[in-house]
Amino acid sequence: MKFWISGERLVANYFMNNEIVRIVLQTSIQSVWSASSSILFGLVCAWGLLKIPQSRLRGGVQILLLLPSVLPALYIVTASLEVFSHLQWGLYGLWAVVVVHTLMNMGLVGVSIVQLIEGKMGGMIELALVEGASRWILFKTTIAYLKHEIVLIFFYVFAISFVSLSVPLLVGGDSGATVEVYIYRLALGRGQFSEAILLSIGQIFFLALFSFFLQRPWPRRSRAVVSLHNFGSAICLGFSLLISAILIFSSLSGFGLGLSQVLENQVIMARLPELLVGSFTECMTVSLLVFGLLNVYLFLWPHAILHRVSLGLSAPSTVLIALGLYAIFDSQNHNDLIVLAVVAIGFTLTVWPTLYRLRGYEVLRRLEDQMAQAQILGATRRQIFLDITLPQAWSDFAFVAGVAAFWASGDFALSTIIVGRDITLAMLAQTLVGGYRIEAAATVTWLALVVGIFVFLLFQGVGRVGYKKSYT
Amino acid sequence: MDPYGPGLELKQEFEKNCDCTVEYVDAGGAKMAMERMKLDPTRRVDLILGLDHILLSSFAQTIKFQQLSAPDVPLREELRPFIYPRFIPYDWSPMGFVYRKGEVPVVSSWQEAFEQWPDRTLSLQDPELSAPGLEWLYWLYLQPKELTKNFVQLNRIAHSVSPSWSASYGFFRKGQVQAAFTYLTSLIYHWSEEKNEAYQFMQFKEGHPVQIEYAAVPDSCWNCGSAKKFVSFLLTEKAQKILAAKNYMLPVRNDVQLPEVYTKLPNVKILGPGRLDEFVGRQDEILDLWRKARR
Repeated sequence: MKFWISGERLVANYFMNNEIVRIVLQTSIQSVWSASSSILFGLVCAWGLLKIPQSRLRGGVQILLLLPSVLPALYIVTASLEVFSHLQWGLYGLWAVVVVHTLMNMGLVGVSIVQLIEGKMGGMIELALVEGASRWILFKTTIAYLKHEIVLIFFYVFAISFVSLSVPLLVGGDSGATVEVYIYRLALGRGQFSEAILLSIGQIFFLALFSFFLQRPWPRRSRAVVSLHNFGSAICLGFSLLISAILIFSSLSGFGLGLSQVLENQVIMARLPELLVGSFTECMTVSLLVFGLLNVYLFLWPHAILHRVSLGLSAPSTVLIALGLYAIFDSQNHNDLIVLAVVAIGFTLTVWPTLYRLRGYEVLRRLEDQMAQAQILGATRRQIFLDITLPQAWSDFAFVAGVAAFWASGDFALSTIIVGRDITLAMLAQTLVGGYRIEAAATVTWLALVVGIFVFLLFQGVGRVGYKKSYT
Repeated sequence: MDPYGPGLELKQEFEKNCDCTVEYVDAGGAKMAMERMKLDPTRRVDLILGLDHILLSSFAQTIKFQQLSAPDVPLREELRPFIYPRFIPYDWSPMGFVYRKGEVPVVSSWQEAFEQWPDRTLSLQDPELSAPGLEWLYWLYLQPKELTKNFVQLNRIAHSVSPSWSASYGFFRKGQVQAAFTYLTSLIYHWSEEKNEAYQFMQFKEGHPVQIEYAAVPDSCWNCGSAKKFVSFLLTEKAQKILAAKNYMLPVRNDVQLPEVYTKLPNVKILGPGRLDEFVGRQDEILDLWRKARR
């Protein structure tokens, strides 16, 4: 740690006059630390999750561990700071960003590693346990065996941390500022839009370099059914659940007061149905767009250029997407439905690369062999799509679309810049924060997340129905 | 539009007599509003509210505004130096440090704050991204000691420099910091809504910066007549009372009867606009110094 801190200062001093180079190096160092730390704690999480057999309970625990990655940044940041202030540790700057990123990503990494372990080594581990192998040695061996996949996960968390905006904007200060924060400052603080656009393009290319080293995106999800609860660690499970619970309950503090504030305010109550519909519409539109895009990919698959571009692409800066849409689309002259559609397009642009890497490509890759065989037998692209691949991809695509909807439920950054009026719950929450009412804002935010969960479950249902029908 | 804010009531009152419909567009803070207008100067805007006096010259360089007649109302004396031909003030508040009793030594100058406050006590706003951020920067600029030295000392006592007032005040409300740079009138919210008088304001001997909110009508307005009428409406007694009650800011008129809680506010010394032009002219240089000092 000392080496890295002094290394960072050396670099900072050497490049002090070149702000952009300094920011890129700083962002890279932060991302390396965030990814490393997320992997470390993700491994702890994974070892804990293995303690629970595959079941609905495990599914519920996974959701609890994944929640910090979707809650609004302000709540995770203040919850994290509160936890650390009890330990007399003041957090700000680069380390605060690393800590918050770790807390947000460890659940996601842990869930993915569990799927890796069960899919690739589940049978071997079961056998080894029966033969009396020690759990710790077995765990070390497992990690060594999965090192390539873990490296992949490292690079993807690196990319997510690199393009992070909300967390470094809130607690990064100068030492934790990222390229995204710098783009934000250029565009909205100094009005230097062309510099901001150039930097955003540079960032996309910088991250695209990784695609040359990454032949696959997120490691494949496992469908194996194994029983590894004797391998799992109760201590790690307890630790992981404790972290998630503290974060979630800290972000819920003031909920009761907030609820009474909301119920007592006639303006909010009168607008609630309209805002619920707005949030629901945005979530549904995003999920339909993602679902549609996945099906377009499926129809055109295999497509080397589409794959390479999607794999290497990182989303353009959220601020620039928002300002770009603001410049070309006057929300004042359109009704809320059209405005929400535009916001949904912008939001989909920001999340598409992540969704593609997380699950989209894995589904497409899985069906490639069948597509090839069907083509050899003379099936048309349309036949392959309608009769072979779509029925099999339907439920996975519905899941990805549902995840997109959940993420969209908390969006306000993009929509506030484009729209200029509150048409969703998340936007109202942001307005309330700006007027002293942080408790009411927290309550409204949770309501927005409930809408997101509802749309997610709706798509899960759609996925299950479609999946069953394809086999009847 | 904030459901607790003055917007809805002002809209309803104005629409009773204007045969028009008021539509609000939330452009973020004053700085963000300026950047958005630079990005699309042809966007239809009849009236801009919430302009900060430090940003007025930047706004005036970016956008042409219509001439507005000087307010024919009894204005508060302390605001007279801040009257400009194309910008009409409609509410204001001194700014400074709000704290909770017992959590931090009470100081009466920046120097005392630097000497007595523990590390990471204070929550600030980013002057590049937020108008209140420019206010504390201007305040620090007016101190006798060299600015760079002040920045170094500020780095020690500052916990965070947030992109907006709400994020900065959120840290304070959540107990992450013991003091925040904010409006004097923030006390009104805590005293009247939360019934919590632990929140107090530190009075500085040298005086306090003041944030004044202005209304202006851009040249590109479509409903210029109605926009100007709205500006005049904001200065009526009724509108000033609504602003005080719901915006938690002070009225610009000196004859408005305020709720009793306002009488408890301390009477603070206000810094005039004496060196404001100099600060605005050197703003880029000062921001650069600040950025370097933070590294």
